[in-house]
Amino acid sequence: MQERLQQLAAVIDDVLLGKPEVIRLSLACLLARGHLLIEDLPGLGKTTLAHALAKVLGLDYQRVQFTSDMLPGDILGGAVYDQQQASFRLHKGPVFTELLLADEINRTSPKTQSALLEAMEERQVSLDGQRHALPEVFFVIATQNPTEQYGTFPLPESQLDRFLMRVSIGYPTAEAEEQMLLQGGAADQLGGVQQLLNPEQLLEAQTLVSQMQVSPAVISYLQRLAQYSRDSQHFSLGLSPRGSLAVLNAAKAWAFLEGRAYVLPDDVQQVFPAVAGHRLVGRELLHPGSEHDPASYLLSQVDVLS
Amino acid sequence: MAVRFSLAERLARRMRRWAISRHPSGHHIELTQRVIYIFPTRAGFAFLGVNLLILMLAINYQNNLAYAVCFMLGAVFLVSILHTYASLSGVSIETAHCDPVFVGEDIGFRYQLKAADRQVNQLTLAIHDADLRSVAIAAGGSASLTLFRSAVQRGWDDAGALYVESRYPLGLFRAWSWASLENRCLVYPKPLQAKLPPPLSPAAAEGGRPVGSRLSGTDSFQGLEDYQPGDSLTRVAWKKLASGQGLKVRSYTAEQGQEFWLDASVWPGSREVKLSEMTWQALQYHGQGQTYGLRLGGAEVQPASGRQHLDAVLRQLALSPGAAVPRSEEVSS
Amino acid sequence: MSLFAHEKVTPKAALPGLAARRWVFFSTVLCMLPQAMNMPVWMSLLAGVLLVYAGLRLNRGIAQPPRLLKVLAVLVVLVVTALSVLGKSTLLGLVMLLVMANALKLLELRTRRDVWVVVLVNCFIIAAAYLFSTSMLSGAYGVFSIVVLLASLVALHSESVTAWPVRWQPVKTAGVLLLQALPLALLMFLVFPRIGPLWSLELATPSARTGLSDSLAPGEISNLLRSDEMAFRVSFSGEPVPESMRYWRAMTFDTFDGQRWRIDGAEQSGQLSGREGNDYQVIAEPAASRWLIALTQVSSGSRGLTLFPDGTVRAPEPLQKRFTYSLALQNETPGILSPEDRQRYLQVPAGNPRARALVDQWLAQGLSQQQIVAAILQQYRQHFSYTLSPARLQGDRVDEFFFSTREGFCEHFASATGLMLRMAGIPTRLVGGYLGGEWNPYSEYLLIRQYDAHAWVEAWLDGRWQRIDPTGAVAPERVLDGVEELLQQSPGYLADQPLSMVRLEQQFALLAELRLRYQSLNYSWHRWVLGYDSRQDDLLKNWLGTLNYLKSVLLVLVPVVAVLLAIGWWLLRGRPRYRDQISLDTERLSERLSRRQPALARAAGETLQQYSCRLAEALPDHAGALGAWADAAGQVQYDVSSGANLKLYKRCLKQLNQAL
Repeated sequence: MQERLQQLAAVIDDVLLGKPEVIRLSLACLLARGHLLIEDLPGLGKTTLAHALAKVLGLDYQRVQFTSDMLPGDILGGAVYDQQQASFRLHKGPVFTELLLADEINRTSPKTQSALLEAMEERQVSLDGQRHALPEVFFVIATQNPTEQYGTFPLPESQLDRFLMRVSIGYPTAEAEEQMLLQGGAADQLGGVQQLLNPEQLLEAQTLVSQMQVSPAVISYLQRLAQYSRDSQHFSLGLSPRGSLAVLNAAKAWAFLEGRAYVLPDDVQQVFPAVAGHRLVGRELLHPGSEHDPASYLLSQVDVLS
Repeated sequence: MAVRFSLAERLARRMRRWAISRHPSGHHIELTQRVIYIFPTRAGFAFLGVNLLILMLAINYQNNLAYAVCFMLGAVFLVSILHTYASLSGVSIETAHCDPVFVGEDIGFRYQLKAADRQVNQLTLAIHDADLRSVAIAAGGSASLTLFRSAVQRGWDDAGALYVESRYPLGLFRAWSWASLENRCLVYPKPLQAKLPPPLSPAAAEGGRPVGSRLSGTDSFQGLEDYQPGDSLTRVAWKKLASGQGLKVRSYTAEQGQEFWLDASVWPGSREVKLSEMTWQALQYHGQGQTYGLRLGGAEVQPASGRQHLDAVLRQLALSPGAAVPRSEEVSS
Repeated sequence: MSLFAHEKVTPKAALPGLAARRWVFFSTVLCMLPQAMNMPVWMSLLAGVLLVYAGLRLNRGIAQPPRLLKVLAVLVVLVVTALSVLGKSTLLGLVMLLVMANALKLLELRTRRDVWVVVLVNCFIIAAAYLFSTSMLSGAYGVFSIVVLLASLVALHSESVTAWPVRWQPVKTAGVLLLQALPLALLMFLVFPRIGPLWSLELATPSARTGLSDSLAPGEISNLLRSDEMAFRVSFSGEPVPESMRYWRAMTFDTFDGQRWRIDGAEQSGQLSGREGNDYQVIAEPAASRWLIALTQVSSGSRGLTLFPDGTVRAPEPLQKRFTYSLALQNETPGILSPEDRQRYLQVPAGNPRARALVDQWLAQGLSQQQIVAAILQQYRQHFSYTLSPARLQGDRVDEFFFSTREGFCEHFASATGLMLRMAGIPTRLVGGYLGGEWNPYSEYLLIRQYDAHAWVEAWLDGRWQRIDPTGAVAPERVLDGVEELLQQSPGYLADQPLSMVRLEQQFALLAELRLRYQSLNYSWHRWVLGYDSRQDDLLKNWLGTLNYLKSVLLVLVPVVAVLLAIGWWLLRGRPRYRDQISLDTERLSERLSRRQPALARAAGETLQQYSCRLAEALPDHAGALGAWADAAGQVQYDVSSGANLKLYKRCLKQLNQAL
């Protein structure tokens, strides 16, 4: 299983050049049954990543481009009047899929945002008073433009919490960009991608990840990380218990991807910036992305050993 | 000051001042033997007194066991000096950011304590005019402590010297230290609802920006709309549904996109009242999600909305000339 | 702001926690229990009621009693105490008052101050309790009380303590404090000068114990014979004297009126002042008398003993508590008997014609003094028997004993011998004292019990006092084996003490062994703790030579400073930061490498793998060992599923250490 996953990562790596880290994190996020938020400028390959993931995993894939005039019903679906049958017919929205790419989620109104986020959280949708479960594999990759851009509704912190990870892809390296230009863009590459895993196997992997045992030493490390963020004066918002649980789950998935049956503090450190970055709010000196990034600062301050 | 202090009190005040002056000020202090003082408590002196009585008993009755009790207690007295000292030594104290408050609320001065590699069983912190608080810290662990003091004046409020003491284990000795840590808190003016509606700023009067597009909000009732999946159930007009008019949803609009100015130059009233009323108004605007700006003396905050903007506006209001200077040690005693 | 400005704590901070109040309650109960035995029953009951109420209030949260009730309680306690205190010694009265006051105070422990008052009073009660009982058990109990007392203070001044009995941390801390204080306390105990009482105080004496009485009439000592109470304990500086020499003289009787031997009002001949004599040390149990025992005639010994012309010593005052003294062994040297003394020791009452006739007959036969003594002993040997329950004597008692009943114990034999020797013109006196004693091999001391009491005769022969023990003639085993063996079959012996230890021990050997051990311990307790003041001077001189001012200051200062430094080091010492073995090993490795190059120290946020990788880059030669170690460590530390391979880890660590 792990070999298959390695292979899978390599395939995507061919499509999205020079970003193995992001690809692994996305896979870890998927394995940990979380959702992924990619925060980046347009044109850096968010869509390509999502598409490639869907293809190699053989997942049902939907893409929704969010706009400011979008309504919750556009995502979730609703009752549509069927004139031929003269009755209401249930129309399932694009959310009923296995991999949903929610593009530029911060362009739409908070109301529509929260409709999607609720569905993500509960893995079910209420339509017309009836509950409809979403597929068992349900993975949302949302993208968000940097908040400085005009005409955006930044996701509030409480909503950010629903994403297991927040990553940014960033510009490719010079080498990778050259290769990409040579190959004529990612779209061509996508065509050649084969399915490597079926949804059943993915579900099995997800179960294996969630059942992975974690040593007390790692648990203690996680707890101390969270405690430090709560106690330290450099954070105005510390890591919530839900946040530390998210780090744990992501670390398990990362260890699984590494082919290990147990979690190392290294796994925690690998996933920590992505998982905790949007859950921590630093004060004064600590700004995300800078060398004083809150998550990295926290990792550098808390002793791994106890 | 008309109060006359006794010699001992004056001596103690001088000692305190001297002690504080010896310590480097900053955001962080580690308690070492240079800054720790130790002296028996009143209970400690009483304990010695009782021990003296026991000694007299032993001498008079020539009882070696009474002697033994006396010497045992005396030795415990001596040994407890070290324990009391050890419970304070090595503790480091850091000031933590203090969230701004309004006049009349309680300022929470936060201190971050970190124990050395041994357990701290009792540590008491105090600042002037605030209830003292005690904590215990596990070996190598840390604890956060907040000392509350009511905010009286807008502007910066300085916590003043921090008094740290421990009487662990027996309370016979008090080991203490004064740390002149920089810990100040911003106090916003007390919000006061104005009797009159806020005056229009010249900028707004000139036209500013037109009223923006209508967005659904929660401010004013606009009418009924058809229910759409995803609409909040709290906004369903149940009465209409009951009367057979179908599922309707009450819809509200917020006036958005209009800019407001809080302008001190056109605001009526005396200075402090004016500031208080502007504070209240700023909070109102913030609560309504409005865009507003501030003109106060020479300072100007460009119209915007959001939490950070509110903080910037309130900060200007708090620090406008005439604000409290950090209180000095002399006044506080 | 005064020096104590911050002692004015806010009411909330001043409130003692539940844990502290419970500990104080427990401590007070402990301090009161021993006093309950000294107090009148009804007072103990009253105190008990108060305690139970206070305990219920503390644990069940029963409401504060109404004010009127409280005032009433105070009044009742005051009156009761006042009534009880009357007629008691000042100290007992004071202690009773304090106990009652504390019981009342327990009802309202509102502030830290209240707790402190109770604690300080408890301190005093613990010390005062020792004036009423000084047994080893009381000693141990006192230590326990002090630990609990200190624990209550610890609980009062800790933030981390939860309610008793959930956490024992206060007791642990108190124990550590006490242990650390022990060396200092011991030092003070050893060197603190023992000065006399500042003012005289009388303490209610323990009830008078049976002892030798100041007159001797046949039949009286048999009471003593039955008592296995301790009388004296003796230890020897050198070799213990042989068993046949263990005649412990307490008093001599010089006057005989035909029925009773008495001590004539002999004037004391002075106080002992010398210090030369320290051949044996004696601890006397409390008694109503001043009698002390000595092996030989005394001329030198502990200071303060009163010396009498017959060579016996007495304590300066009745033995209200245990009394320790030491004496020198002396050879009996020829001396001179003054005419007055000679006359006194020859004085014979009228009566006893048959005895006189017999003596006259011997004198007429021209027997020498020695031969007369031998003749009397010969009579005993041939015709007399030893019994503890002899027939009653009437009329001319010596005649009746010597010619008719012919049975008795030491008193009878001594009395008859004394009279007949005097009739023969040999100055004679009766000696009362003890014979033998039980040797305790563990502590090497001789225990003399009341049943070892004995009487014998001293006669002036060849210009010196010579001991004659007529009982030895009739029952040599009494002299050689001690009374215990002799009397085992005797029905009168210990008949009134069916549960006597001595009787039990005859059946269980282990019990005897245990008893000896216990007595040995108890002896040391008396000798070194309770009686320390009498040997302080000698001990210090032995250890340190003559003390001068500088020496005594150093004697106190050096150990005190040393002990305090040691404790300070212990308290402030660096403790390992990590709990588990791998973290400790890593820290050690990091420290070792950072000495070589500071950059090689592990950063706080560095994991084992990251650290080993960084080290491998810096020390490429050891990359293999480092990697193996980090992998093994990671498995031991973090792999819960497949079980840790500690052996592999240890091997890797060893290899790494060797490589570096």
